[in-house]
Amino acid sequence: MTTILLSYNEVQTLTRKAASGAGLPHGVAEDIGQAAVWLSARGVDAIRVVVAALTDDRQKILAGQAAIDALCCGETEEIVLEDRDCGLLLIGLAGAASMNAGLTLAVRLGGGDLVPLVRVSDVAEWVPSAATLRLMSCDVDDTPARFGAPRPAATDVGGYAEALGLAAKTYVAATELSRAQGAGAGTTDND
Amino acid sequence: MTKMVLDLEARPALTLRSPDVVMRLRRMGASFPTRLSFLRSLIRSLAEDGSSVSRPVWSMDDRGFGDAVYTLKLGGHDYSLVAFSSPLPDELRSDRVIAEAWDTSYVLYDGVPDVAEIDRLRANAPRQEAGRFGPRDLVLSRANKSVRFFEHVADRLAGGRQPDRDRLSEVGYLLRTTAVYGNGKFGIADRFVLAERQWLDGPFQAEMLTVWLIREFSHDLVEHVARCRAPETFVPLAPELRRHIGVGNSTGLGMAPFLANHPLLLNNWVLARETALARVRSKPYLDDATLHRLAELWRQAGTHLDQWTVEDDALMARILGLRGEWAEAQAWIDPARLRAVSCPVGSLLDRSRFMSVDFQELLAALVIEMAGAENDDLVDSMASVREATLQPGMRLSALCGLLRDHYGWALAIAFDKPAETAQFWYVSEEKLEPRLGRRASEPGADLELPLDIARQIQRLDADLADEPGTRTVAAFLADFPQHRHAVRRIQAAANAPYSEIRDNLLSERCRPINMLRCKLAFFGASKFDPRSDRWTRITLFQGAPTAGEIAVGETDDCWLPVLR
Repeated sequence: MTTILLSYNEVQTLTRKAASGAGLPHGVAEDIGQAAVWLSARGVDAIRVVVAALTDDRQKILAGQAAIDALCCGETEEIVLEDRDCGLLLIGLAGAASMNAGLTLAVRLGGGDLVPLVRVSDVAEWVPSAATLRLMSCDVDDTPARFGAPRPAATDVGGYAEALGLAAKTYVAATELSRAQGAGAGTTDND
Repeated sequence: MTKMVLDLEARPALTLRSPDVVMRLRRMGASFPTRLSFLRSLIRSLAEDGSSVSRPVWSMDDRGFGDAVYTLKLGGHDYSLVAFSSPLPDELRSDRVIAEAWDTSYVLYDGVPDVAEIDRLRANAPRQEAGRFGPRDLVLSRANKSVRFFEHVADRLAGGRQPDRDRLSEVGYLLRTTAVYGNGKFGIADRFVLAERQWLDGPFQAEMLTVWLIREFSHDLVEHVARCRAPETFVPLAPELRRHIGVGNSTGLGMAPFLANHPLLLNNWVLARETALARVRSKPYLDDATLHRLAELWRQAGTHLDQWTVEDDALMARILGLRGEWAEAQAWIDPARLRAVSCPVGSLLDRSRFMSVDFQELLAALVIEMAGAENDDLVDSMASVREATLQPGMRLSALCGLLRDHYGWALAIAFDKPAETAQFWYVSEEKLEPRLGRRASEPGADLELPLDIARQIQRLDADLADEPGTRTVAAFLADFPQHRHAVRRIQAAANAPYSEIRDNLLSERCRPINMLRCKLAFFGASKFDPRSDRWTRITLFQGAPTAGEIAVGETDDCWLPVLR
């Protein structure tokens, strides 16, 4: 597998644009960008995960996002994660929400352990199809692991290309008019 | 006016200008730099930290083409500007982002680069967006020469003479940057790396450091070329002229959406400035030294206005009007009069309400300057660790209350009128940069960027109309996910009154140049020189201390540069 190394900002921007290109609302796409940062700081090729989730059933993402919102405000107690890619994305969404809002969301893995997301530094080996998300009722004592790695996990070039393709759906083709007027400048600026 | 308690250290509540006044495009487009501007805080940081600049690499041919490295230590870290200068045919020299080659290119490097790292950067920096960068590369930039002025200065110095003062005053720079990239672009280091570094944790401090070092490079480069042309007769730049040569910058639409896309950051910048203004406004009296300083700054601003000329007819007319108002209002600052009134700064600001917006904003910047270091603590509040966070547990009744309190301006826009949606923002496939199109005549409106904040608010308001106030945001967004972005903005506005540009960015009347000037004024730019309603040239660091002078900190010309 050939990989490339991106910055966190590149991971966030590309996944946000890809989500918009896939037809998700801007506010949801923003959250997916943040989720991708959270995941890629914890050993996950987040671009591949996001692309896989976007090309599956986008309604699952919207339903999962709504369930996490409900979890965050106590309207539901537990979310069962059903498949790997969407499940990992939802863990990312929950992780970003935990980090940004100071909530103690936690994952219960197959073995039964309840792991607060603010304390997690690697989720690459998790099997989210056997996991649930819960809001913990008590504070977590440990220092949050804000960034698990100084640079994001490596990105598979195939997933990267697919993300670029989705992002490109948000771009407008250039025309002579847009070249001449769109940025409002001439083409040479010698002085 | 907005009443806010901004400081918990027993300061009285301050009266801030209302966001309905401050956050209008026309007023934002009249912004001037202040003491809180980012290049000013960088200069103070460099001086306070005792930074000194060395030039370990200078490998230039006689025509000024080659490599250079400038290094300084700041906050215990070494930083290096790695500069590359290359030949460029005139026909390829363009300020636009569509350019693919430049006279000079730069990387601000984390540390001191070895030969291998310089080789790596030489292979990538001249290619800019087409290159690839890594975590030790903090900022990427490029600049073109102001060819005629560069040649003039080189020719004069080679002949043993200083540059013509009128030409220097007119142009003000040898090199003009056309992009200064930070925060992870093209693989460079992410912003959070710098957020943990002393002195570079504030907004755009690494970018400002890069530009300041580029300025030093531009001075050295022109002297090098002149010296090589005629070593027997060459003279270096006179210190006062060297200080007056800043760095040009050409900025286009790419910068405009930034303010709408970073509402909390925008709020923090404006809130700091408005807090400084409110503090100065509340002063019950001015002592003699402050009155003297006020008069000095008034003269400086007047001279600056006299030396600020532009080709743009609309702005030149405003500058001419401002010059007239400034002269007319000279009598306002008569010391005897100001001693006789209580709250003299408040009195001046109140009186300015009958003058132009340009006058009001220049006066606001002046009184902040007059107060000197009193407001420097506010610089620490201008960064934003993260953007707005959704609060899903909020009741819709509370959300509606926030919407009414902070978005009345948005609800008042008549979107059924074509003029209110005449323009649309989009990303060009060709260069992946923001563009502005005409909805009636150009394709692509179906892919427009979500900068239609006011229209989103109205659509949200309509969908909220039939919802029970006891319902949560979480439940509402489950049914209406398309409103997630607008809801988050509204929730953020509760604690960030200056987070929104209170104008319709789709309107026929929207002129992006106003957004550019606002942001660039926060950078510390002066000599705004618009080339259309969507791009402008500016000057940075004109009048600021050079590397040889940085130990003494700010000069008197840091605010509004004047060639004396």
